[in-house]
Amino acid sequence: MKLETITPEPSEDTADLAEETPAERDARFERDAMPLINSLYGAGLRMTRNPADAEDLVQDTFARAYSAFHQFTPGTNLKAWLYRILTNTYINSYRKAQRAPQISDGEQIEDWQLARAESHTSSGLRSAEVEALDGMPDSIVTDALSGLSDDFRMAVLLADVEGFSYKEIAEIMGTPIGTVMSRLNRGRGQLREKLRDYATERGLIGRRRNP
Amino acid sequence: MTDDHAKECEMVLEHVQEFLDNELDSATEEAVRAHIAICEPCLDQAEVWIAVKTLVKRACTTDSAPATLVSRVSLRVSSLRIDKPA
Repeated sequence: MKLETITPEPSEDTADLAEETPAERDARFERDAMPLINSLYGAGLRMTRNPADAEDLVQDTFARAYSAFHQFTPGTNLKAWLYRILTNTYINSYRKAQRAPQISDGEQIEDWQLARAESHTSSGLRSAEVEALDGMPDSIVTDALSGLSDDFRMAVLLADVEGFSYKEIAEIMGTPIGTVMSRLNRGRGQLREKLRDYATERGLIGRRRNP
Repeated sequence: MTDDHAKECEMVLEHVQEFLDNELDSATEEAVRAHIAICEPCLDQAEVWIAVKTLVKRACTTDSAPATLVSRVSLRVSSLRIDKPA
């Protein structure tokens, strides 16, 4: 994955790079990149699952971003560019040190397809499911997210927390758009299962598949 | 339920997340929208995925970086400056 492959999009906010002094570039980094530290910390926290590692990850990310800032095309999506560095840094330096993901990114298309197959046979359950989801404590949701594989979790967070398009997520994660779609479908599907199990255990919704 | 309707349901459930993510081409998007408007089970499914998306956003947007991190990052970046005074 190369940082400079983020697709440039035309914009009026284009600094004159040839004329820019190092001091001006520093000021531009300070002004444009530093305010994104909260988003990146939040994303780092959910990748690493602990505050100390998240802080190290964010520090390394900003150091790399600063060093590579001359490669960033002004007017293109700086947030997507920084997320890509964050993701690369995480994958290169941190992921190996973590425990293995609970769910491998293998060819498990069944969970999503099963969810699809049963969806028309369990009538009367959904509004209860939506109600249970709306009342779900944040800590249960973040726990459930932690249980997803790194790839699934990242795709879901990039889409639903950060609001990136599939194309942007594909660039950040260095994968084809089809892979992004599959990770999103399966990641959200597994998340839904986990939350539904939680709600079922607590009697918030009925048991499934009663004939 | 007719076979045609069942096929449409299958198509909609396959694309409903892309639909909610605004990632479908306009023809498919219209087809999904039209089907959801007349099919309650598919509408229910769409509502669940909306709830999942909303929930993830709600649960994950509260973290902000500790103030100490902001100053550590600023220091680290300053140390990399090429124009820093000798």
